[in-house]
Amino acid sequence: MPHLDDAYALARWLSGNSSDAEDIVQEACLRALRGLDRYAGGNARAWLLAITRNTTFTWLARNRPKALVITEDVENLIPADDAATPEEAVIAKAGAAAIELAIASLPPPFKETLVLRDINGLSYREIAEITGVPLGTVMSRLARARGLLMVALGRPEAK
Amino acid sequence: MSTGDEILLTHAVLDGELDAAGMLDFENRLAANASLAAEYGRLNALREVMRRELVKPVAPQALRERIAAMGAPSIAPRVARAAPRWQAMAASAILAAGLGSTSTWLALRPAIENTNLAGTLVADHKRGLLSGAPADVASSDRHTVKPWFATRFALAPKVVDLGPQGFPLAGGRIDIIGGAPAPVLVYRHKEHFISLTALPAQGSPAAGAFVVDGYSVQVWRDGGTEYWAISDIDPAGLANFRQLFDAAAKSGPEKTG
Repeated sequence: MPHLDDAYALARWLSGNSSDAEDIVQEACLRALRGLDRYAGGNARAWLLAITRNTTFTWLARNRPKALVITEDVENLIPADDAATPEEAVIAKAGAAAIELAIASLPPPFKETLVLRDINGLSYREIAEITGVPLGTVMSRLARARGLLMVALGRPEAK
Repeated sequence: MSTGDEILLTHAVLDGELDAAGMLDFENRLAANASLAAEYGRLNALREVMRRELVKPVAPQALRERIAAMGAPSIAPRVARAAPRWQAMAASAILAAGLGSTSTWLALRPAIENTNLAGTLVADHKRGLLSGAPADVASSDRHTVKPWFATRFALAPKVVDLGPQGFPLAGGRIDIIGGAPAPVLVYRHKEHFISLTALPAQGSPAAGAFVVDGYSVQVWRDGGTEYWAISDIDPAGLANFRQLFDAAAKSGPEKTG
């Protein structure tokens, strides 16, 4: 199946666990195959990723409901003030472990937007289709996700 | 202070989501607004560090096998078979582009005979000139061209600006080479264009200069990348371009310009 790595990468980041990701991708592929008749052509990667994304959330809700606890009104969190955002040089020195931890700690809507963009390399429009939100929401989520990442990378324990 | 919209715009610029007019407008704002420039710098640093430190997970072999065992008919041939020839080409290009943006780019490119490859690349170069649009993204700013490629390839090609040396960057495009998308940088030299295609190096090292259909061709390697430069400028001029590009590409992570 094409785009398997993309599907696996998304599931791996969203679930935070390789063996869960394998189960999720297998289930997603099964769904994709069953739904092949409904595949109308076009962007096969976005189509498979949309299925993988939905499968991941269903799977997490069933097996690890705690992972999906969403803080109330997450979209309207007050943006971090400039003072908390570290300097460019501090960000540039971040290591893999600190970045991974920071991404894993993001609230789910921010995390999936960031992963689809920065790991899977999808365009804003594709992300809007996959996550079912307007383009403006994709942009604001991405900005918030990266803002939170930068703040997390600036904390002393991240160094 | 930067406004919320300007912050969103900064993200869009780095994600290669802005058109040329939007880029121009943004560059003007950037020059006039120090706090916006600082935010741009931070976001760029975050992007670079994520690209450097994070490895995209690859599906384990066992999972691949389990899924293959489901009897998965590949999606690609299904689309290609059903559609007439032109649509099929477009569809396979889309799928190829999808595959190409994953890390499988290196593994997927089938071996191509050098002679055929030169012919293909010259044809692509000619088509670019004939269509009047040798570049899909037209910009002399490598900070625009590089992100444009970065959104389409896991391994974006090195983009250096050779404007001061007489070869300004004109933009970039994507050609389908051997069924896989390949990044092409477009440079300008006086009235002429140079197409520089970056391919994953494989097989015996190809290097040298020759002429195909009246076009000068230069091939060389830099690490895992094989560069093919095609142009209608004379061979000596193209050899000069090759030296300049190679030197600039090796002089560190794209510091030129």
